Amino acid sequence: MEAILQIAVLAIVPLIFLSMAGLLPWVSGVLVVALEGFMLLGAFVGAVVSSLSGYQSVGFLAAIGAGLVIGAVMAYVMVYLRADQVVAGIAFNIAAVGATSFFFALIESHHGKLTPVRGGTVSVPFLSDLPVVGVVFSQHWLAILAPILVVALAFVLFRTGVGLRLRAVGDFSAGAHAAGVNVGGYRFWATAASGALAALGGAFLAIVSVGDFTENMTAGRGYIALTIVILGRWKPWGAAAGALLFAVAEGLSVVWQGFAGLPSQLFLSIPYLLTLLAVTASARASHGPVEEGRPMTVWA
Amino acid sequence: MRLRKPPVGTHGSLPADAIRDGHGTSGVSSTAGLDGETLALAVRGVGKVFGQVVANDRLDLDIRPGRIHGLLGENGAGKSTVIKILGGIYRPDSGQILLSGREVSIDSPYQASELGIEIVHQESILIPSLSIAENIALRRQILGRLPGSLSNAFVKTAAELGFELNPNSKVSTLSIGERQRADIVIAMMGDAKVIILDEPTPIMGPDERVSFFAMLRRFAEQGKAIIIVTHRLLEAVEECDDITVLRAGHAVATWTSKTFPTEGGILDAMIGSSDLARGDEAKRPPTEWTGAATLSVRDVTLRCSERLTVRLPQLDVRPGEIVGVAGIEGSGQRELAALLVGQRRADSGAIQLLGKDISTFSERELCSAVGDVPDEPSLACAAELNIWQNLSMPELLWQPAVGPGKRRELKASADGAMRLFNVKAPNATTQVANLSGGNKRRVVLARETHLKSPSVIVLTYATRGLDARAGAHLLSHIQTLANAGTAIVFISSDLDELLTICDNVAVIVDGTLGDTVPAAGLNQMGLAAAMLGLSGADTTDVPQTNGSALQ
Repeated sequence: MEAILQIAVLAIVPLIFLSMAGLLPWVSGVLVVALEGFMLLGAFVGAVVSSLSGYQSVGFLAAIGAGLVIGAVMAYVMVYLRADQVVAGIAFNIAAVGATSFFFALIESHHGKLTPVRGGTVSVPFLSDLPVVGVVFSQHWLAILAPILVVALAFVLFRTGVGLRLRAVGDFSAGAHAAGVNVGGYRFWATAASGALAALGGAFLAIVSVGDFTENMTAGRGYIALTIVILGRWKPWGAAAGALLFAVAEGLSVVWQGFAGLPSQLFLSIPYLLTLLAVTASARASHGPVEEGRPMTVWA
Repeated sequence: MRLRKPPVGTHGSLPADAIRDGHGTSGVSSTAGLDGETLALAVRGVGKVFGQVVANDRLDLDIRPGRIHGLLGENGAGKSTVIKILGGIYRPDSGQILLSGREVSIDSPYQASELGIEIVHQESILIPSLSIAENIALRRQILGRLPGSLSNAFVKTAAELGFELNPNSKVSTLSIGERQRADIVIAMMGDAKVIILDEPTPIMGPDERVSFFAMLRRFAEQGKAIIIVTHRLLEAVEECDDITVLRAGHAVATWTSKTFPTEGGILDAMIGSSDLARGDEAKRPPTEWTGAATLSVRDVTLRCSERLTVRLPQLDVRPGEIVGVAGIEGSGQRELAALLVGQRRADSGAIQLLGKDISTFSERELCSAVGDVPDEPSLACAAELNIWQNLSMPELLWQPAVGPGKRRELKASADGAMRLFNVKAPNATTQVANLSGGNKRRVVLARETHLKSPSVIVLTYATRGLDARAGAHLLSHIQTLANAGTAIVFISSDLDELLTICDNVAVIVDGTLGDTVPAAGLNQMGLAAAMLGLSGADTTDVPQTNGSALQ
């Protein structure tokens, strides 16, 4: 049981960062398919920089910085140059797999095997002493930060003027423009921030969850995160609940590997099957921001 | 037939030049009104060009505080453009805008509102997924935490106006009328100096209109300047203090302080008397139409949107007859055409084609029986295919493959049709996507009226995008087809061509089609008045047909 919880926590934290990274620009009308690539980039930068610098936090900061820069570039391409968001995202994802693998191999051939710095675990007093569930409260500090991020994003989106503007931009950009909102600016910064958040999730995966960087190690988590956003109906709480569901499925699949003589691949496919089911079930019932994937309309 | 000039305003102190000739006023830069009072808003020589279309041309407007100012004009006269300029949506190419005597530059809709210009757009610009209160917060430029009491001013103003609106209801759950009311409240709740309403009345009921204008009057009495765009002439005459008529981007006439001429005079200014003098000679000889109708419509209704329901009580088109459908654009012509060609199914009623219900026709039968020239040529061609493939579509669609002999034959007839309709393209294998709008239309026309030989042809704004010579050629081609026995439905907003080639004309107003009356007995003025939904205007020569919308 503790093992399942431990795996689930290590699985859910990247998914939380990723789904928040997907949700933020999506609400503003930008469908960031590039999430997968941002995450992989973050994993790569985080693993390399923390190994080379010897400081874990420097690895995280470098991942955030790299995600912000690449997120801004993608944002410029999708928002201001009006590139097709799906095509741009997929192209970027394919490029990210190749580039990160190549450069990781190149760096390891110069420096030898890279090992990201481990550690950073903090324990919540009292709660971490609880039987069984105590393990949940004795985790890396970023894991503690993840639920705070969900609360913060929910607050910003639904209780502040900035959130109002993000939602307005995603629903009716021409109307938002008329109301004095800088449509392009909001979409640009939401997308850039998405790059930083996704990269942080990737860095967590590489440094904390796995402790290494491997080729295409994100294995579609970026796409799963997009599904989680749909499942959570474009709301931070909903997405967090969706992330929990997927993390538990992943934990079960790891624990049940080889169980009852069934092939382990069957269990490993559970999250992906769940993705398919989730999208099928929610496709009719909900629709996302009206302007998702559309270039902005602002009057001349 | 020659129409009289618009009568000059009869107000004693009014100089004769109160009626402006749009060409002569671009140099005027005074900000004072005729009586020396400061204007709330003055537009001076504003010009705006979109591509080759001149939307506003040296336009002048004098808007006084405390008045309701009607802005009249046909579609495309430049009303919407000048409003979008005042609202900061478009930037003018030239000219000045003076607000309370001070020159301003309106760079964004937000800035317009900061300057005290509020606009109630024809289509609401409220964000559907947000509540009314959230929409207000959005316009207030609040970035941090949202205050709880945003909606107080809204509730107060709404109550003053007699509207029942819950500021916490999501805009997407409101009806179009409620959204408009919310827009009006939001425009009125601040201390705007100028309030502009773009065609607000068509979606209001009669009672609603009365209280709406009473409300506008109250706001005007508070010293606000109110501009209302309308194409309902009677409404403007009854409710406005000042009226400006726009035509072809100019202000062609202005009357102040209720010194309006007759409706005929205003209409004359809207349409332009010079346009009215021609086109009477070429009318088709009156014919008694008997025999079985090729296309027959009875009691058809089609609900298209909350704004528009198409109602066609009766329409018969007999072989050889050209029936014109006259109306202001957007009155339901596109939907009417889609019904007549069997593309859309009516909610109720019957459409008979060649004596059979149109819904019993297969795609292939419809294709050969009906010629369909829609308002938008891209709706009727496959942009990725080339010209000969588009022209041969009726043949190609129903054949699994075309042999080389047949292909040569189709290409040859396509070449002939291209020459006949003067399609400007290097050759028949040019992709249709690369053609201009006018040339796409020629391709559609060549196919639907020449290569096919349908029993009925429905044309919507068929001459649009064609030059004068091609337009004249098309009209005579249509007449030739009619003389050969084809039933023609000719949908247009151009009075000249309607009266030139049609045997009978019916008018469509807000989706409802009136009775057909012989074109021979109509004049342009009467037809224009009917298109504007005007009854009782100056409609000399209109025959006294019972129940006609043209009376």
